[in-house]
Amino acid sequence: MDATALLESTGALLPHLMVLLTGLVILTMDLFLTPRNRYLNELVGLAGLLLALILTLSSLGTPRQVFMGMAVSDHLSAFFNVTFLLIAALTILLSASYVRRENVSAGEYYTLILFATTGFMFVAAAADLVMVFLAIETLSIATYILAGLLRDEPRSQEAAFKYFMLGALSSAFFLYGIATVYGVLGNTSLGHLAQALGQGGMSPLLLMGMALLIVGLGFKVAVVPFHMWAPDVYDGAPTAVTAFMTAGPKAAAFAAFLRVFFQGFATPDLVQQWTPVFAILAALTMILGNFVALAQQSLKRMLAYSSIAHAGYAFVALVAHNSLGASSLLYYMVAYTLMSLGAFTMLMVVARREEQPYAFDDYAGLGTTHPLLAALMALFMFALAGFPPTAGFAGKFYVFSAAVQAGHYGLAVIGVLTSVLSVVYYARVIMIMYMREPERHQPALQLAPTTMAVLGITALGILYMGIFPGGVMQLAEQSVALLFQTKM
Amino acid sequence: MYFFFFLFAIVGVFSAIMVITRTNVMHAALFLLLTFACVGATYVLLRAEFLAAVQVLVYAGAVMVLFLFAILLVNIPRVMQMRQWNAQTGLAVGVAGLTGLWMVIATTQTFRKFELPAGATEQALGTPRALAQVLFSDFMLPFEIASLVLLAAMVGAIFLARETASEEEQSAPDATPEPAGRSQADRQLV
Amino acid sequence: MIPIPYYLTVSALLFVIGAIGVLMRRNALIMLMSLELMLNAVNLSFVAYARLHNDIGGHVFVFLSITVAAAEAAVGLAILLTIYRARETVDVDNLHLLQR
Repeated sequence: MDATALLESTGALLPHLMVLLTGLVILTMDLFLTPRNRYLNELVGLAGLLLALILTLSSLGTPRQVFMGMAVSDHLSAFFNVTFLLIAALTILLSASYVRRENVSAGEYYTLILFATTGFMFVAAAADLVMVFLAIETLSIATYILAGLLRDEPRSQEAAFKYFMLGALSSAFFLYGIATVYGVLGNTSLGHLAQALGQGGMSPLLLMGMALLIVGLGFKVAVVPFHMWAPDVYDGAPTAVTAFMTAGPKAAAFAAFLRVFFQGFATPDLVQQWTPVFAILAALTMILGNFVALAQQSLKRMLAYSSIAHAGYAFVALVAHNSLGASSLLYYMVAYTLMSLGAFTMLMVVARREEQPYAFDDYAGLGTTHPLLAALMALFMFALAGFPPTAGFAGKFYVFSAAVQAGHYGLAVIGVLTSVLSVVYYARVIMIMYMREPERHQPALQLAPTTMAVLGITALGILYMGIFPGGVMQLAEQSVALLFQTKM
Repeated sequence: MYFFFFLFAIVGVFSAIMVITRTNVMHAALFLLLTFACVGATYVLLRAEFLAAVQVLVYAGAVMVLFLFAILLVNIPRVMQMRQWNAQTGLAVGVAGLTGLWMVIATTQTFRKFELPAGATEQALGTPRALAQVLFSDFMLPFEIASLVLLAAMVGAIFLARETASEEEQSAPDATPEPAGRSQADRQLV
Repeated sequence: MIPIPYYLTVSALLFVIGAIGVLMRRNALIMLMSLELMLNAVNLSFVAYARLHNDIGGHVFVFLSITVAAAEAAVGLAILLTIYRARETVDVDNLHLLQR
């Protein structure tokens, strides 16, 4: 690769480099910070993310492959990059008070968050299976550590261990899948997969490889039956980290699904093979996620199962192998990010200290003691349940429409029915907030400005996307257009 | 040639079985070392000489040393129980076994008639020169991302494993005083 | 010479043995070792397929995979140490605070 190509390639990946650089700067700064200047961590972090956002938007141009076909810079990667930058920024904001409250070493924490975000962005920009693997490993390793952030808290230690074991296991399956695909086709470049398949690559071994890839990625997204780790890990990890984990790695894994299965295994006969599998996974996930959420006694665990259920809804969008399906998936990712981060921030606020068991009783009478907070929580619950005019409703509407358009009526029906079921457990929170007396006199909650910012941004975003879904949907449609241009 | 392959294959699989069945962790670690060595030897049979060297250096050299340090740091009683057989583990083992069986069948189905052309293994494949030519041109970006993986792992592992604050206080009293006037617990910002 | 399926069978065997080790044993260190076994098995597959296609790209993949496996081993052992520090045991059946 000569110098100009190298410069061009690096230019295309500047946003990723910016995020990485910010992480490194924070890590180095940590050596010199005193407790007085700790706010610099968040400041530098947000500044870096803002720069990365500017770089992403300014490098939008013709889709191109960079670094000898290893990465791409196109509208799809740009859309996901903006989503990931949003996730990272919101996480930094909501962690600001959390980090001080729980006395966590902030430098490494923000560095790992930013490294994970770099990993997310590289997943979205991957054009070769080796890049998908390495990017997923980056974000996974950073997230394993983050789950164990509170080193002296037993639940956090357990969460980190379980997440690591099952995550590493899934990585091994994923890698075996890549090896098998490589063995059959002799190539791991996503663009060439589709071509190589045209020359008669269909074989039981290739199907085996695809199955292993589905298993590996399925773990990351926590669809049933690969979901076993999620409730325990989401429950035990520090709440700020859980918020990050439900949004970031999930969106990155869905990006990986899009790249691998919509760009890679995109020939019609292959699509026929994996679509039914995806459909079964989606159905199981929607059903199990919602049913088990009903029985939870801890709000954090309930949100964990609801996260599994939402991954199921998003999976339906993958099953509907059409333009509306893919764009609705993108829309759902943004919507779910906002809803989930908002809800977990509320959890963090009301719990006050990490060792609370997140019982529903914490919320008793919140309607009278903190009416604004209760209203926000109610908004988040409505959004997760899928009521109009929230982004949750719009997201589900688009996803199920895509399923119907593709002829998967059964999935759409299951989706609607389970959504109705989910109203039961979301409404439970709302009822407790407004219809019960406050438990005992607790001092008033004072929110840090950063936390208020997160709650404000997520709430406004949910309402905006719900009332005016067209804007984001149009961007999403533009982003996925390239996936459906060159179909064989 | 066949002799060497079967030697390394059988010893390798045997020591792998030993790894997962030993009650003494140190024995398991040593069998793992043997497995790594057998796999490395198999690489040489496949003309991946550089990778064989890397395997020995990294796996047998670095990773095993890491494991041995961990084993020595962790005080484990000599006698350990194996995991009990119950429905869940039985199911997991069954699924794993079926997956392996399916893999073997699929492999032999696809490559049923394939034998490497005569003289193929005389062709050098995994020389350092060839590897370097590809690694630093086509695979430059993955190479750099791998360094990011290592960095993240390093930061994280050090963060998790270093002395806790209480251990630090015992060894050296804190010199900088806390700023006066901290907010009271019940007025804490959330 | 030696047909490629032979190597792939060995690889599949090692993979399954490793998977059984991860799922069945309850000592965290042995689980980690079984994980390394699985990753080794996959590397063997890669090298065999590289020989089949006469493509050095497979070797590069192994190179990167070894890197990642070493990093994961380090992280896993660090997590294991935090648990050991608190509980003086590495028996995973003692990790039950998060049961449903």
